[in-house]
Amino acid sequence: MQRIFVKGIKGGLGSTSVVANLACVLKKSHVNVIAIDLDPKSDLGLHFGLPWKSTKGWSNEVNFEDVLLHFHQDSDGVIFLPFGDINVDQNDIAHIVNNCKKLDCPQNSWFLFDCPSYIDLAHLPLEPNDIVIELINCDATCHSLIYKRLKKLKSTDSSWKHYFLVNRYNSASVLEFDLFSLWQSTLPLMAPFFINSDEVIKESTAYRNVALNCAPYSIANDDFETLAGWLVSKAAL
Amino acid sequence: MNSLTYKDSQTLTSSDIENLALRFGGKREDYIEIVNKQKNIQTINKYALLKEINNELNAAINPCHSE
Repeated sequence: MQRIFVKGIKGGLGSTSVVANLACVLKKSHVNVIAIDLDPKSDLGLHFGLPWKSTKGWSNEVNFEDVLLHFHQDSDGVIFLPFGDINVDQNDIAHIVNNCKKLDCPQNSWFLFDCPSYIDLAHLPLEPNDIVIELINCDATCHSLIYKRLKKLKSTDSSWKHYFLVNRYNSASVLEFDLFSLWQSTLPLMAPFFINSDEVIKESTAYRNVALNCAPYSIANDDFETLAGWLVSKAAL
Repeated sequence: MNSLTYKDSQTLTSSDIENLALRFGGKREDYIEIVNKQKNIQTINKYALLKEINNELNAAINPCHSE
């Protein structure tokens, strides 16, 4: 079992879209994928065709047996669990992450957790084999936050595999090129590629789907395939 | 350029980097990291916030050299 935790280094960096698109690309490669929404926005299901009026999820239940009733499967075969509409604290999030281990699923299953940006990684029950992808934009605020995160990682006992991944890269921006080049050559933990900013990602959400199904030959889908392949290589280490 | 020229400087030109990449088969993060230090310094100096952060980091590493 491989667990991937995706979060933004700040809010609004597109972690939900990344999780949904990555899940579908992995599923296409015959990986058993289970996507868990840990974000109170509870919008991961929108990418998988969950009806808009459906608001319930794991946060609405006290017992994990009842949580099982909230698992869904999309048309591609991705299994997902919506967050729901009840406020929870970080301990509840840690519990659901732990409880997912109880699921009877094939050994080669991948769990993708869509985490809110504010979550404290120290509160998550992370293990050495877990991979944390922290999304960043090529802007000065993220530059500042990356160095703060690196300081924190250095001062804590972070045994998991932690990487920074640039999302929504704008190749026409001089600033973004400058920052990406600088980070690539100076920062540890940087993924060696980026997810391009692509209208397809927004459009596919509007069409209640993912880039793989709406525009399989798009730059966006290429990027998610690259991400999936890279994660497979990292998981094997 | 078949052999690498030794320079008494930490600066690699773009040409040096291309030659190193050709010689070693391209950039592979696992075993070789070719850094264009001169360009990085230019980028840091170009943007005020990056410069400030860089100065603070350097001051933390080398307190005696801080202003």
